[in-house]
Formats: sequence, structure tokens, C-alpha cells
Amino acid sequence: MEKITVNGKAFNVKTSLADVSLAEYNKYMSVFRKKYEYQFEQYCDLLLCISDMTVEDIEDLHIDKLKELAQTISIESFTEDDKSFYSRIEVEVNGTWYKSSSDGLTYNYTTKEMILLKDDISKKHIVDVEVLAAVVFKKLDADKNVIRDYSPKGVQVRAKELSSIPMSILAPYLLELGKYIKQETASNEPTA
Amino acid sequence: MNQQPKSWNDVSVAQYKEIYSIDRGDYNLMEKYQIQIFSILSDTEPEYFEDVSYPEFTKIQESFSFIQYKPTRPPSQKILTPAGELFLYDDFKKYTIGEWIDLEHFHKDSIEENLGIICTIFYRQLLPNPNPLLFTNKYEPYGDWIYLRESLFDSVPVGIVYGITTKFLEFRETLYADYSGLFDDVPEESDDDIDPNESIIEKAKRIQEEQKDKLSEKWGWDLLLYRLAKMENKSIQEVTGMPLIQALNMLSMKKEMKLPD
Repeated sequence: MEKITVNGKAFNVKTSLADVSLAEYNKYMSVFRKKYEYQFEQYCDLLLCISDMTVEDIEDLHIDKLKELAQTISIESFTEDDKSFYSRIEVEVNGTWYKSSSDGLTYNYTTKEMILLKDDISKKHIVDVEVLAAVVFKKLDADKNVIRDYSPKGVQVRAKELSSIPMSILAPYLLELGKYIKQETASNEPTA
Repeated sequence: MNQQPKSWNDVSVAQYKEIYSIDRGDYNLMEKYQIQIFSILSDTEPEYFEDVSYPEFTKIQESFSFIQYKPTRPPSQKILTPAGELFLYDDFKKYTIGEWIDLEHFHKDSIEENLGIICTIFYRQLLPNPNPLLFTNKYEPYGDWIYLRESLFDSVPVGIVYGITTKFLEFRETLYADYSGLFDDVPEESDDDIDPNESIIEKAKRIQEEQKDKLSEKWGWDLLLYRLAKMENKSIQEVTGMPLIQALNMLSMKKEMKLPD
């Protein structure tokens, strides 16, 4: 988190994945898909996602500072710790526990999970991290057994339940998914 | 997996027909389509492939890579079916025109869908030979058993029979090249051929010929059989038993010498 002052007023700007929830990350990434006539407008929208500033406050920022703050959250900014599955296997939200089948070293998506995610990506043209979390983290029942519910409704409900967890928890899963999507994109590219 | 086919020799004709009945366009993702294909080929429930890890699935994809190519092995001379042995009859020049027309129809319609029927025409029983040292083997004549025998090929490996369709298509190309004058019946339309001074009677005759040519293209083999039957003074059914080359030679002669119908 970075604290900045504009016109005598103090604001918080989220600068790491641990500060940003899944819902905020989705909103932030969706800005990159929009078309803008002016770059300033895009930076403005990005900063609105990750800070408590208003448009008027942003307009008073120096353009270089605006650009620097707006682009702090990206795949390139993921740290070494963001790549580790260790301590990102279980998560608790409002008293309910969710667990992934990661062994702490990696996560092997099943074919069913990959199909589910690719289906979702093909519709939205973006990785919806709330859906990703719902696929990866399954609810535990009273006996601490994993409930594998891949139904559309089940995934939708879990996505909403997990939307408030920090993006830092999901980071390694997103990077792992990225390996398969990138491989497929590379193999679909035309050869000379 | 219940089975792991390594090549087309491990896939039956029935499985081959089944995988080609699945339309890729019905699946938005390649993985969904592949799961259906792999399920048929390995006789394993689709859920098995959904539950494996994705890295494992990519290895399975590699193991089934042979299905990207058609079977290329030469056809077996002899195959074993539930009803006994059948032998390859691939001397196409000795086929009758009726057999040829049926083969044309089933190949044009869909080789994959009709593979079993096509095999019934190519693989026949041998007739008893009183003395193999004196007489060549004779194959049973063509009959109306093609639909009856189709299921005999369900369990035959597709890799050992598919090659006969390739051989047939190669022969077909040569045949049509040799008899191109007979099959290229429709002349190209050209205003240069029209005499600007042609009379009304000549114009009527020209239009009549053009209409006949269009009908020839429409009725194809039926028209050829009709002409053959008229020449031989036989029924259409009877002329279908005429040897293919003899029939084509008769028709070519009629056309070249402009003999009337």
C-alpha cells in the first residue's frame, strides 16, 4: 500500500497483490480491455480501481506519478513469493473453509477444470480470477472432505463467496494457468 | 484406460465410423471433442479423461496423434470375419458396371460412413476350386448382400482394410482419364460457336442439343445404363452385369461414331 498526498489530502493506493481483492483485480484488468482515446483516461480508470481517490483528485496528480501508480498491479509485478503455493492451499471466508489440491509445490489442473476455465475465457476474453478461485478452491464439508462441485451454479456461488480474498492467494494458480494458455497461444500462432 | 490403441490396426471399422460421425463443429473446445474421440477409441468413459490432470491429458493427446492421418497400410488380401474368411477382390477391371456404380455412389456419399458396405463389395468369398493347379480362384459374383454383410466388418481392424479405398480411388482417376471423352459430356458454353447467320431451325436444333447435354449431366450413370440397355436390347437390370471395361468401350464407340440412341 502506498500513501500519497494530493492537495493536502491523504490517499491509499493499493500497490501489491495482497492489498487487492479478486473482485478488484477483475475490475482492474477489465480496464486494459477497453479502448480509450487518451491514455490519461485509462490511467484514471486504473487508479480508480485501486485507490480511494476521486476523478478530481487524480486530475491533480502529475502525469508521471499517475502512470507509475496506475500500472503497479500487473503480472510483471508478481514477486517470487507470489509464485509459491506454500501457505496458499487453504483459505477461510466468513467461517467457511476452502481447499485446493495443491501439494505446496505446484497445482495440476484436471482436464475438467481446464475445460471449464477455457470455456469461461472464450466467453469473457479474459481470465476471471473469481471463477479461477472457484475452480481451484473447493468447499470443505463438516468432516473436512472436499466437495467437488463443478456445476455452473456451484462455481458461480463459490466465485461470489471468494471474491473478497486477496489476489496474492490466487497468484501462483494464475501463473500456472498462464503456462497452458500461453503454450496454446504459441502453438496457434502461424509459422513462417 | 480400458484400451490404448497405438495405430489404426488397433481400431475397428465400427469405431472408425463412430469417430467420424462426431462433428468437430459441435464442440467449442478441442479438448471436449477429443474426449469424445478418445472415449470411443479406448472404450473408456469420458469422465476418466476429465478427471486426469491436464499434463497427463496432453500426454494422452500425443499417444492418439496417429488419428490425424488416414490409414496408409496396403489392404490385407484375406480377412477374418465372424462369418469366416473373405478375400480381397481388387482386379477392378474385371468388375461389372453395376458394381462400379455402387462403389462410386458409396465413395462419393461418404467413405467413412459407408466403409463397412464398401468392404463388402471388395471382400468376397472364394468359390470352390476343383484344382488350384489348373484353375485360378474365382470370387463369388456380386449379390444383394451388401447391407446384410456390413456388420461383419464392425470388428475388423480398419488399418487392414482402409487401404482398398485408396487403391480404388487411384484406379478411378486413371479410368476417368482414359475415358475422359465419355464422361466429359457437357461442352463448355461458348458464344464463338454460335453462327450469327444460323436459321431458326438450326437454332432450335442447337438449343435441343444443349438441353440434352444438361440432362446428361443431371442423369449421369442412369443415362449411360439406359443407352447401354438400348444398344444391347436388354433391360437396365441385365446390363448392370456387363463387365465395366466392355460397357465403357461400347459407350465410347457409340459416342465417337455418333450412333443414334
